[in-house]
Amino acid sequence: MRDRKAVVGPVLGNIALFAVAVTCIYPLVWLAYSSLKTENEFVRSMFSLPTSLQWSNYYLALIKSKILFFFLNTVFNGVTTVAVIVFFTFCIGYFLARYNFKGKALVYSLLTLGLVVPVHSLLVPMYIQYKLLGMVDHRGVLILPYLGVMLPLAVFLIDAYITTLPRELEQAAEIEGATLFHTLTRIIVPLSGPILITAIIIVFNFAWNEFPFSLVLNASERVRNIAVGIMNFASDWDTKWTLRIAACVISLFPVTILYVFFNRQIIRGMTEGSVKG
Amino acid sequence: MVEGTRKKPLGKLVAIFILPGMLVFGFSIVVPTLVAVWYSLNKWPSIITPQWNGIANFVDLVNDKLFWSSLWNNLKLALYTLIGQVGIGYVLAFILASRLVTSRDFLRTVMFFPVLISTVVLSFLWTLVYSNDYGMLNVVLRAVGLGGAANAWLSDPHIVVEALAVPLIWQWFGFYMVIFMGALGTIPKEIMESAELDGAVGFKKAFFISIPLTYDAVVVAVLLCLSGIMKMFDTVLVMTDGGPGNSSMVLALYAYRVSFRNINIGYGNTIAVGIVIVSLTITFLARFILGGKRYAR
Repeated sequence: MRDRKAVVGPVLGNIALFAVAVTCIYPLVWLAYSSLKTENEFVRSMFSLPTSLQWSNYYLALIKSKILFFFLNTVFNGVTTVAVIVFFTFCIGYFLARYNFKGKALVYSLLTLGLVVPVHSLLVPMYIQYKLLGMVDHRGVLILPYLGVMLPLAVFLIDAYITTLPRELEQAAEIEGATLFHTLTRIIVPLSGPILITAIIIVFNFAWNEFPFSLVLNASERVRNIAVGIMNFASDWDTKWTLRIAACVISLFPVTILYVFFNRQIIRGMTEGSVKG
Repeated sequence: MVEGTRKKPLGKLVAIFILPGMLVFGFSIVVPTLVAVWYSLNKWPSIITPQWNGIANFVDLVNDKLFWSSLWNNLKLALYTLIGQVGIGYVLAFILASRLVTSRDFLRTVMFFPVLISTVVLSFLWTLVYSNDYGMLNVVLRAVGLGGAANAWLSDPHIVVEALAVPLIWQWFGFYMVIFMGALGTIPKEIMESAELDGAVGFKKAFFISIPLTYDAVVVAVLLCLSGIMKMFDTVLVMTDGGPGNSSMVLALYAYRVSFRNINIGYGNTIAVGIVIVSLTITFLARFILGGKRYAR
């Protein structure tokens, strides 16, 4: 009797866990195969598999509905944002970790302000500010709000990490006559590898999925990102569910591929980032 | 000490390392905050020039029913997601910590994935789940003979907020689960073993050992969840746009709508400042209640 009980519990537990896992993954599988159905098939039955694969949905979504173009805009935003933010955060994080200077407290409190202010409530004043400066609908301006959102988190992460590195290496390098620039690029940057990767992951994922700032500051077609592109899909060309689903799959594609290869780093990066921040 | 031995004076180093980044940061967060405060004190409807209005806007805000009902929706969402994201996350982390679970890493990887889905895709996906005519949920309900329960989920004012909470829970419970798995993992094995020797198993072990020792992680999770919900904007914008009527309006969306659709920028900024005040109050209250000292280390 007792033996049976000891077996049934874990089996049920495992089944329950797998059921939860299926609910997490099925919607995405569903998106993937639904994107290959004809519109008729899709409307007739949501769950059925496609009878023949409509790859033309992807062609139409990518080219006719310009998702390819929005995709490239998003790549541009992601890459530039990562480059700029990681550079700035490394500089600030390193300096905060290693030096005492006048205004250090001010820097910390400004960064904390950035963490506690609910950023999306600043969409309106941000729009006014950018409009007055003629910066709305220009490529690249999104770096500014993205930096505003991501800088505090990334700086605190890098600051905390560099504080744990032994100072002796830098002192030795200095005694050997290395300049600060050399110490940084040859010693600190390589040692900070893991935390820099974390920062890159967090910032890129944020920039890739970001929607509100793009909607307000970069809505025009020339600079639109993929999230706003999907949002405006119906009004752009034609209300076809399957095409829009194809567009969703396209936007999920890069993240999914990265996740397959780097899921450990991504999970660690994203949870660590928010807990320590 | 590294400092002081460098040839360059400290001031110059500050200028090189800190200033550029912080200037950009100031431009993108501090300036809009100041702009918001300034225009929140101005009357600026439509295209006429702004006029100083003192605190009159804030008096309007306090009497604005829609502001409070939006806040109420935020709070309802916060309650649901606290139970759903943090609660489910905790329970799952607990089950996953058991030695009897197979393929723990696989399950963790799968359950975390929804976190990476963008709001727009998430909202679109769930709009299809909820759709009245051919939505997945209604199809399933009809198939199992519960056709009577089928509903136009997102157009029913009585259920719409709850319907909005489900996708948020679905997306984030894996995130909190991973946080709690980390926290449970840091409990020293010796403590667990000696507890078991003393006869603490199952729920006893959970209540007297695991939960107290992961309390800090729970506090962090609650605060994260709360601040996330107070920022809630894009999911609601895409899925219901605050409707039907204003029944699923949330704070940030209300500020956005007043400014961009009603073009009442002065009052829109008043709402924005109101949101900042309300969220900060809630965060500090939560920290105070849950024991801020522990969290602040």
